[in-house]
Amino acid sequence: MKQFLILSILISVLTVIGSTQSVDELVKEGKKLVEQGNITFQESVLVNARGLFERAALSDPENYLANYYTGYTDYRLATYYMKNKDNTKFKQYIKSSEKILRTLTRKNDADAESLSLLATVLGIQISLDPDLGQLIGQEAAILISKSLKISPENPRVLLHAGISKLNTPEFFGGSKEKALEYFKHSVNIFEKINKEKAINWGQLDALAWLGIAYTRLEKYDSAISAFKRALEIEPEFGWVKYVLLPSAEKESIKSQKTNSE
Amino acid sequence: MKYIYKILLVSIITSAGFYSNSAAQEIKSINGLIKDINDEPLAYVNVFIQDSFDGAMSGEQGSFFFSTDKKGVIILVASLMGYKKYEKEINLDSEKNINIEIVLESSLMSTEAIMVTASSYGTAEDNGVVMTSMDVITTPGGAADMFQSLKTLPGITQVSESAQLFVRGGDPNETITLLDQASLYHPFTFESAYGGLFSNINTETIKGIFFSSGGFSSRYGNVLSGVLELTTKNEPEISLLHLGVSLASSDIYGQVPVSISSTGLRFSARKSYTKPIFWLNGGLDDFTVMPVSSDANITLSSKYSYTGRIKLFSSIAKDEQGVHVKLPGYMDEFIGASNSNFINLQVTDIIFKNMVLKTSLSKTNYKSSWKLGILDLNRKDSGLKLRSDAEIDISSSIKLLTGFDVEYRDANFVGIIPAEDFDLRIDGNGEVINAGFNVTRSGVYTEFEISKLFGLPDLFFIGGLRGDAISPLALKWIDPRANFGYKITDNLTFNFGWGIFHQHPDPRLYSSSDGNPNLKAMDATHYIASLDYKINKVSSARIEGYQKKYNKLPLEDAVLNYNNKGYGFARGMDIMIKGDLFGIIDGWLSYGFINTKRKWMDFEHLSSSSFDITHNFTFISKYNITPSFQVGANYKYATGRPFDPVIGSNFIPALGIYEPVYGNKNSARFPTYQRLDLRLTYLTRLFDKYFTVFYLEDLNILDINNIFGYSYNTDYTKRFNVDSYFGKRTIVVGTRLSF
Repeated sequence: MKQFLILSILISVLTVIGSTQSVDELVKEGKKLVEQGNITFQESVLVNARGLFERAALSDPENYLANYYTGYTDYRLATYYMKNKDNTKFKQYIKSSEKILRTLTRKNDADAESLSLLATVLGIQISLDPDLGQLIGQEAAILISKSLKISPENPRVLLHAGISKLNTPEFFGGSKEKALEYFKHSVNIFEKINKEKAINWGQLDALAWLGIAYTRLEKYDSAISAFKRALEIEPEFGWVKYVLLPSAEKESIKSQKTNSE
Repeated sequence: MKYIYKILLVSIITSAGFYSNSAAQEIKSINGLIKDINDEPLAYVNVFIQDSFDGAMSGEQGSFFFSTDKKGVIILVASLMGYKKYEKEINLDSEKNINIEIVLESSLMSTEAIMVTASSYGTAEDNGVVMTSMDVITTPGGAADMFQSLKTLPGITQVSESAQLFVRGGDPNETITLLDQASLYHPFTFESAYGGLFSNINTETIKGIFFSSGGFSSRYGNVLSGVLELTTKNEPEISLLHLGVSLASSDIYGQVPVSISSTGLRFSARKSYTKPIFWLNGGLDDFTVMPVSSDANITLSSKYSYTGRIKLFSSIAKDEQGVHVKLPGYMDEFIGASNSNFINLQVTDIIFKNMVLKTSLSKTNYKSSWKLGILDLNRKDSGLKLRSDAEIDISSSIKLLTGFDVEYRDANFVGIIPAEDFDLRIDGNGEVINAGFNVTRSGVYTEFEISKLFGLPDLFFIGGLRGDAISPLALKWIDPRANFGYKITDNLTFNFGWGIFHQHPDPRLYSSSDGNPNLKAMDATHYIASLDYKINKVSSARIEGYQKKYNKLPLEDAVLNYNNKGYGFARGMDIMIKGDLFGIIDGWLSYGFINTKRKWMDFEHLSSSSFDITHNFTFISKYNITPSFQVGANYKYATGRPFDPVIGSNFIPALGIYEPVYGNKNSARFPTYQRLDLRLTYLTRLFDKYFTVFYLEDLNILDINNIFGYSYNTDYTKRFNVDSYFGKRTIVVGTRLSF
């Protein structure tokens, strides 16, 4: 069923591509695909999305959204290849994402969206090569702090801030509790904001990360609630459905058993 | 399920609408197949018409199809990450439907990951065994100094505790140091007869380190034994400030993006002051002038276009020291001072789409003075260099490297040297020296890097020729060099390197008074065979055997002062294992065995080289006790350095002192060198904000009395140990704050 759904979306999108389109339309279609790719964690969908953004960015090099979403999709593809242990492709896409986001932040150093995403892109590289922590860890922390100053109520900035706090060792300033605060704040804002904004990804990620933070704090019931909320919004969100929720439920049962003993 | 069919229905209707609509606009179809050079279909390639929205993605089998209402000449683009972008002009008016086969070439050379030449170490995976800047910073006892850390690699012998690199039995002058293509003649502080103690280039300004202990590329000329190539960091993205304070030095490092249009500044300054460290650990009385040094580096970098960058690097350094020296029967004082400055302008750009061109213009100046008794020597060494290197991708499997360098060097030695090397008394006999060495060296090279040699996917070749000419010495040479590599399995690579290397002898030997201005260039032939094994993602091992044959080395001559009849050899084996050792310890283990003999300079027979350190063993380990506490250890073992033993003495009535009588050249050795350094590092955030490192180093924790040399009594019947720099246990504490 999932395959049918993706197929139909791809057919629609590829059909539309053949017709006369504006850059905005390409970006719009790309956004649909990348969101779908994130939900289903499918390489083909993400690569197709990237193709649309790339075409849009080449047609209009100054188009912010086309460039931002190319960088964002590269980040998604990098995480896909990281999970699938394809180190060469991971490096290619994460470096491409970093390059694009750096270009955007050079053009506008108050671009909190790009600054905060860049921090997460740097963070992923540190997680795979801790030696980079000394070199770029401080930069990632500064980027987060700068983004929060510029746009303290941006839910994606809060999401990136939470990811950074959760994955940073405590002696470098990491904190599960602080991360939880950021994720909660992010989730609350996502519930209220207009979903039609130019950049609108992140609600599912915020709920997933909120659940992860609860899990790390061993608050499994809260974690399960967060994951279930994500599945209410998108029942096919694979990361939560097949990985995070079953794992939290397992841990919850284990914890209950330990407590009863 | 109904929902799915609805979507499909809508899609089909949309498609049908599109086709019927397009037919009215004389649409043309473009379809085809996309493959890589191995004829394998490529999926997910973005194929489109430039400056339009018409395009499609290739499917799993590499096929694509789309329609367009464009007319005339269009540019068809195919793009996929990791491959070179494909562009082709197509006239849509010539055919109704276009069918095209596209072959994409990888943007990386297919065997790049294994194109590692023998004996090379670098900060990137493609440079061989990896030595990162983090390794430099955290090497216990290394003082975060590049040279001291590099000395833990196999192939670099532990001749002394100085920072100079004695590579595979070679003199330190036989190893060159390049920074952004420019030559650094004196990158050390406290230079003395056994070399400088630390580098005067701040590690924080360095992005890449490449070191080769033999068989290196044709890019490097006028060098016999080793190459250290450093690249500085580009413009910073964010502002940072680091402050460091220890018992031995204070330093500051900062980086500032000057504008958002990719221009930035990096600066560093350091002052060493040894008084506190000698006060704590003893030894204050050994000095008449406490050793102090200061250096500063600045880098201004600007990305002037999408592909171009201009970078200005400059450094200044100075030092001074006064130390009591025990000479036969009396004490004297050695006073040394030096200052140097260096500036380099480098421009890098991509031209003609496939050529990376790097050009640098540099100027360096160095002055030093040494005084000890009658010895009063002033040295000046300056250089001006222009270097240009081009890298051209000819195809996906062939890269051409070519370039040239022109280097003017002016070295002068002025002062008084003792008439007899055993009589350094202030009222002893001296000879006035005024020797100059002004030469211009021009070099040119061409080298090919070929992967898939003879169609074999796992075989590669790197080989080239370089020619150098030095005027007015009328020296010319052509050096061929080659390296073959074969990837036996995914984790195991075999390398064989061979090459001929030339270098002019030490400038001092060209003096018209006590040298020979007609000396020819020395030469060496290297043979190296190595096996690289990638144990896992973070661990690797290398075993390497080598042989070097030296010819035309300078040899003392009763008539000419020096001739070129010297010769020698070096042969040995290097082993290195690096990474996650025993599952818990991060570090590396290196062992080098060498047998090297020379007949050169004042050697009467083929004898052990002064740098023949038979066994060199280093074990570096770092272990995280907790995430914020790291303990590191650095253990070194090295065979004692050879020296000329004193076997007697003769009284010289005219001078009123004894002359030592030496045994055979280098026929004795100093005791084995052993040292264990420990380092405890604590990482924290001060005020929950400032990243801070506190460290405590205990150098030579076992208090092993390593020897720098011997001094003697008046008639040479008794000898006394002269301790090495770290001949006794020494404690250093320090901190480093980041803002």
